Amino acid sequence: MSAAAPRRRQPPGPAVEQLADLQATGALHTETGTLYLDHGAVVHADSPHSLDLGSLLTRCGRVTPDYWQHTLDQFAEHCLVGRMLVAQGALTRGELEVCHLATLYDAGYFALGAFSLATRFEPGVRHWLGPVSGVDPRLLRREAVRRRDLLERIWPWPQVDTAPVRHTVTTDQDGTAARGLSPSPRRRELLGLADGRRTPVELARLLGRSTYATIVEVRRLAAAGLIATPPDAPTHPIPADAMARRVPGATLRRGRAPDPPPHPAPTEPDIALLIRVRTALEARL
Amino acid sequence: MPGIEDCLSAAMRIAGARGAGLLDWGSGLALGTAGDSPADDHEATAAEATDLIRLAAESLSFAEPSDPRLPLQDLILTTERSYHLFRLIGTVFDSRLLLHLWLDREDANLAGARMRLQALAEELVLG
Amino acid sequence: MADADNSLRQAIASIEGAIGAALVDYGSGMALGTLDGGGGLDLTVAAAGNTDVVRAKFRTMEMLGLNDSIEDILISLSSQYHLIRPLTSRSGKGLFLYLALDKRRANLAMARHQLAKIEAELEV
Repeated sequence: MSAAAPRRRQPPGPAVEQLADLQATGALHTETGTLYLDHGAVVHADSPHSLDLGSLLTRCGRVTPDYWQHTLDQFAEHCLVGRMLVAQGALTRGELEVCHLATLYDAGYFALGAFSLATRFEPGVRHWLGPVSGVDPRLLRREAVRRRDLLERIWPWPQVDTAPVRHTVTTDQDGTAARGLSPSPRRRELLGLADGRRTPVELARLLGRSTYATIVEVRRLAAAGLIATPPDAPTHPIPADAMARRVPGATLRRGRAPDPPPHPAPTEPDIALLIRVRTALEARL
Repeated sequence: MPGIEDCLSAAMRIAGARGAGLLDWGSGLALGTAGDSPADDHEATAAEATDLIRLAAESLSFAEPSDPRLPLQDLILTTERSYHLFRLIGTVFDSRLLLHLWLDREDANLAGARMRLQALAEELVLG
Repeated sequence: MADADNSLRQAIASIEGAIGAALVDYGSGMALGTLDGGGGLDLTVAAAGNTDVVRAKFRTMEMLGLNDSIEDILISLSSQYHLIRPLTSRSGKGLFLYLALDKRRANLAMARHQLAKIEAELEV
């Protein structure tokens, strides 16, 4: 099928708007996700970087993984998964709509941030979830811009979105109260897993939470100095202020001063790709 | 079983209703809106309202460490001409949802509207 | 007319379910006066926390171009109500009255009405 789908030299934002104007139905693949259109409306989106509907529903135990898999096996082919989840009483209509929109906007944020100019449109392709609700592509794009701006206002160091998350406080006290942040259970859980190995995307998946909301939380925690902000180009083997810590009586740099990176360089392909996503979001949206 | 649109239409039938929205205070997104918005811009209203609720929900003074649930249930803002009701919605899956209802003070029954909005919030996720 | 201490005392004594009251400057988040009605609340911390909410609300109103003035903000928690009432008098500009109530004992409509009355009589 993909052989018939021409690549376009067009950023994903304008591409999806053009398809909307043509009332197109099909799948628009970008480097970082896929937008599914039905008569010009975006009816679903997925991205390897955001939490998918199945994970959102199974991680919390709302539906069992077995039930989810069974429903996919039976109804995905006919694009009836959404309808059957409600018909079989696994979810209320409200729950399905809320989860659908939440995952659609989350995936849309990443899919629209693709760096590459190449997008590929597969006409006629439908998503296995089937009809739930649709979003105007212009609204989706506006929302992606708003989300990027919100992150920028919280803590304008986007490297924390993609770097492994490391808690700066090592005692058993998590320090949130002392820094004016509420020590909510959600926050404690996130900080408890911030061991310097998992990225925000991985943490969101582990916790069954929205990836974007997790990134927002990570930026807030970084702004409060509770999560390390690695330098933008983390290439220095020994950061200057790591040296300063060894001097007795030297002031520990906290708050807005970036902490040393937990690793010398982001070498995992996933991180490298996300950095490009971020750059592209800044440049294109 | 009500969906988002049914829920918001029902909210708009509450006496004095001028506008309603289902908002995500984790991201600031309006998942659905109905009627008018105080600023003629539902998206801007959603972003601002969710910021307010986030501060209230996370405010240190409200944290009840013994209670793992989110302690904030609703917030009502009374102005000279309006009531703004914000009702938080609990879900099994991870979310930070709320219903916002904007009421004209002259035509509204605050206690009645508050109870009705709570019922609508529960129906939306419980069916 | 009553001064701040008298107003807080009156609030605790006359409003059913009141467990704490404070007069707060939302410019700084500092409490000008607090009175513990036996609720065990840290009113200084509560004042600072509520200041964030009040500031956010004023900023929201400004950004949305609303000229409507705030009368009060009512926050329901699982076991308490928090009532915030900005002062309207010229001398009280930038201040708000804050009242915490035990949910099991409080009558919300009555509490709002009584706090409005106390606010009207408060001379800062």
